[in-house]
Amino acid sequence: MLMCLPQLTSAQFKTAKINLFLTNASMASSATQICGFLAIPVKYKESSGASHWLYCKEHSVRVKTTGKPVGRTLFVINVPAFFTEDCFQKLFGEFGTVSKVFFHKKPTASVPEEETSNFFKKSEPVKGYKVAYVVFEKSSSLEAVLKLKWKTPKVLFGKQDKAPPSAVQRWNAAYDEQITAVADLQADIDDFMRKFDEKAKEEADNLKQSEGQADEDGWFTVTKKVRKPGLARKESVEQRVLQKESKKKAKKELLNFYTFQIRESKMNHLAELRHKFEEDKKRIAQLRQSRRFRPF
Amino acid sequence: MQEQKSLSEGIMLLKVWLRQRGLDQGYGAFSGYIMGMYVAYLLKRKKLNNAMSSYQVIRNTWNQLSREDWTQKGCTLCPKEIGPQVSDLHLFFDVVFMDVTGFVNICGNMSSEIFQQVRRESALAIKYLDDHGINSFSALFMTNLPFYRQFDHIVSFDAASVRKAEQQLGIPARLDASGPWFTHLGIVGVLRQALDARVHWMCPQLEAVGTWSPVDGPPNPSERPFVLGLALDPEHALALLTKGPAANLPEAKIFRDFWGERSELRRFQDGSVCEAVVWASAGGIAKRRLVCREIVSYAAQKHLGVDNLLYIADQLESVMQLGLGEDGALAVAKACDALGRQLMQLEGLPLDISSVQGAAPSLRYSDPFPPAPYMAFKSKDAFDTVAMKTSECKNKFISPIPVVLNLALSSKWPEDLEAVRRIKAAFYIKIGECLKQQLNIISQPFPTHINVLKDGFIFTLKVYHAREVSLLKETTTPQGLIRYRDTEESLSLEMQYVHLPKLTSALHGLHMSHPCMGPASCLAKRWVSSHLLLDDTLMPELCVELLMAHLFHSPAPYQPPIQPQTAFIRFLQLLARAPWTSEPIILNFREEITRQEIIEIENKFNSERSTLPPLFVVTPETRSGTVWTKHAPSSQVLYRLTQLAKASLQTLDKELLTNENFDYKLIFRTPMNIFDVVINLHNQLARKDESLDATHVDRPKTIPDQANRIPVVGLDYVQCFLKDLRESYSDYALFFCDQHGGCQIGVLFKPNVLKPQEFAVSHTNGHIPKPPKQMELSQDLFIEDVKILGEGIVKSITVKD
Repeated sequence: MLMCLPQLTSAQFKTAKINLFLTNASMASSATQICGFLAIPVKYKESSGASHWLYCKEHSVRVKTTGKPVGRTLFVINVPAFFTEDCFQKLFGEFGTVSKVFFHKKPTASVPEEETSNFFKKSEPVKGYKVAYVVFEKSSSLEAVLKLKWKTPKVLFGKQDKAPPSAVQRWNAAYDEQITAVADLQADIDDFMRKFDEKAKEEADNLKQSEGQADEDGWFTVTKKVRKPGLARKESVEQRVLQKESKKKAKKELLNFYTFQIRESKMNHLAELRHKFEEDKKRIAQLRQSRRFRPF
Repeated sequence: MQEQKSLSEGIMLLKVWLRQRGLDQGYGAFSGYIMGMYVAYLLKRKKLNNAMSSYQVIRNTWNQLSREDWTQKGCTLCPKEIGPQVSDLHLFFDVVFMDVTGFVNICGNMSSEIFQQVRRESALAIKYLDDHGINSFSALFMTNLPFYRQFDHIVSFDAASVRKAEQQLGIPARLDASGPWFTHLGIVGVLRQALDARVHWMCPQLEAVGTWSPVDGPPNPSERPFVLGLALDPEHALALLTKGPAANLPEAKIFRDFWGERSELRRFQDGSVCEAVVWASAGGIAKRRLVCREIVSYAAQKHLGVDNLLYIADQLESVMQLGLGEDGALAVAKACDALGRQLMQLEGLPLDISSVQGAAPSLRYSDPFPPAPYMAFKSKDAFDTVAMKTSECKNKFISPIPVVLNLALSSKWPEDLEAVRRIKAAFYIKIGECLKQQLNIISQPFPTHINVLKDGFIFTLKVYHAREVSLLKETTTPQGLIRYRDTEESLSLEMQYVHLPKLTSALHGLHMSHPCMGPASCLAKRWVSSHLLLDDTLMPELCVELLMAHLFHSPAPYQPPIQPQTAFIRFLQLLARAPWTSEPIILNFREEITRQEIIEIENKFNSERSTLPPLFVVTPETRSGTVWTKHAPSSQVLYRLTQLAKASLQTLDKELLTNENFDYKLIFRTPMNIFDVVINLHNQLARKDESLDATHVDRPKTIPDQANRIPVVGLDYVQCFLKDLRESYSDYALFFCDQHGGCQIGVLFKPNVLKPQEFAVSHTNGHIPKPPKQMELSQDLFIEDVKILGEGIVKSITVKD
């Protein structure tokens, strides 16, 4: 295909592409396809009345991350709240090992930050319907998943499986999880603060070292530590400076020097008065409409 | 007079004003004719003239009316001194206003109560006209004031009782009186003597006589009940004791005769020995509001021989068992104060605690079910954590009491959010240690807060660090410029830690000056909750409280009520009137917002109405007006509240004064047939003690202080379930549940969501495919999800066909 490409005209190339797409579609015509997504029916239990549908497709984005490698990652939407990593293992286990599953509330290209502490979570757990990125160990597993027809719904918690926790058990567990031994919490805090202090010290040292030394372009970095730290880089400070500048500028300008300036200022004044009058009229009409009763 | 448009307009306005107050119809009313005659009288006396505008006419008329007293010094339209002297007529009539002939007293059948009521209303009207904070037009002319909403207490004598009273008072039949008019006067006289300073005023109900068929003859006035409204004086009405004259004075005899055996001699603290009547032994404030009822029923029995009165005062409160709430809140406030003092005196903390502010509804006296001191939980075996886990204890729902701690200023806080969180957690651990060592108070620190057990209540303490808000707001532009912008997190943090404690103290202050505001808020919240709307996503409880505070802060056209039930009925009227659509609700606590600022707020409101939230509430601390109502309530919820309030008021209008056996719970019952799906829950999991039909359970009174564990706090399965449901389906459906022991969840699908939709990656949740390009939200799948999310709590699901 690639080899013969140079010989094709652009129009021919387009048709070739369409053909390719058609063959793909016809291949999976018996599976439920919707707008390029493969629909997989899943049942929670044997006795469940209705099945959930997962819509999946190969993960493909412009921004590539190592956490979600292209070719091995399956992008799944409409994932119900009860789905966990184990559920995916159960669902896709026969095609190969699932190495990692990322859950998000909305489609996200990046990988969530790794949690470093048991007590202070960086991100809230994802609840409700969610999207999942299922990373397989081998790319062949992904292909196998997408090729299958998925006609009958797969039961996640069958009779022989361990029963999933009931709602009350889940809420109880979430409550119990918050309660921790004080010593553990203190140790976690101490650990973090030690690292934090070390990092802060290192940064301060780096700054101190670079102080007074020009970088490769010959610029000096001014730090807060020197005698004249300069202005803070804040929006409010910048606005104040700009205001001062414009005031200075206005002082220099002569506004009633030329005749046209005087004429213009008079006209502007009149227009402003008219505008105000119109506004007041509107206001009174509004008051009258809302039957406010304030004669004076 | 006819040619003068402004004069006739003025008279019309005055008649509308009378009609809205129900003063112009019925026997002995201040009719429109009298008002017309009075305007003519003022015209004659040159108090009015033809050049005046209608506004000046009504203003001057009110002014004159409020100053004159026709019960002492009547007036006459008659130009010459013919006919009887006006001063002589006062011997025979209560109110004197002679017509142009000088022989007819057109107020001949008016009682002085009615006239005084008109005078008071005129004085009030002048006050409203002068007060710029009140929309006086709507208060004076647009709002209907039904009789039963104007008074705190209402006494109703049925026809049989009136006849009994007539015999007891020994009133002879007279020719000129229509019906038992003199008996009514006698009853009023007895009650006035009994209640004395406890009532500001009392006023009989005037009832218009309808049309009748010529065959049956006119309705007999003596068949009608006699209804009297009492407006209580907050200073005297709640006194447990009626103090009489000193024992050695001649008046003491009259006092003794009137009160009979209830009167006794008592020595008072100032050394005087006086006659006195003691009404109730010490009880909660809810009981003290009913002293007047006791007095009225005693006096009616002794002097009128009537023992079956219909006394409307606290029916709603007693049905809802709110008496407990008030005393419960008092205990919470006391424990909170004590804990605050102890915390500020703790030694050995890295930073001193500079202030302790409560933020719980019970600290504003507006929690219908304030946390009760719980039975002590004690473990003999060793344990890891002070807080009990769910496996260790199965207690009833206990709500924690949130408290915000402010620390002394320090420059050593780190400039990093993660580090601030850790430092705060370390602080909680330190507080816990100090409390244990110095005061032997047990506590459980968490990463985000600390739970402290004090006097059987569980307080959740959180530290507020102002820099945290600005750190959350801080963003850096690509140029390296630091700017501050409000974010969702910073706003919610500010609301919780800054605005909520301030509002709590402001509402607490308002409650202190109007002690019935708290219980009234409780009633209102209970009502909203039983209509399944009290929820942070539907109608937040603070919004209910703010609306109630508005009622007390600007009570026009009424006086601030004393009885919670009256306040609640007026709250319903406020909801039914829905003033928020056309005007901002301004709660000007301590008059901190100037008049200029109010005008600015109103202008902003008028010009930006469409972009502002449906309910726009301004307080001195939150002048943007959006802090409390940004996310909820929606206009649909407000509309539903308006409809429900109208229906409740209609029921009350019809039943309150006439039906002795009226089931007051009726207005708290909500129809469930409007919902698409109803989820029935196992009721032992809900907070069933709080439900509408729960029988009253005694709360434990004694608190053993050797507790060494903190029980499970704030774990409400129904709320957890609702949260899970909303996480999954909030885009497509609304969920309604009574947070006080409701065991049914109503589900309403948003319009059009059940129809097939175009496939879109962002909206696939819960949809089943309809190839090739569509998808559909399936009701079956929704029910399946409800079953999965609520496994163990859902009993059954009913679907409307």
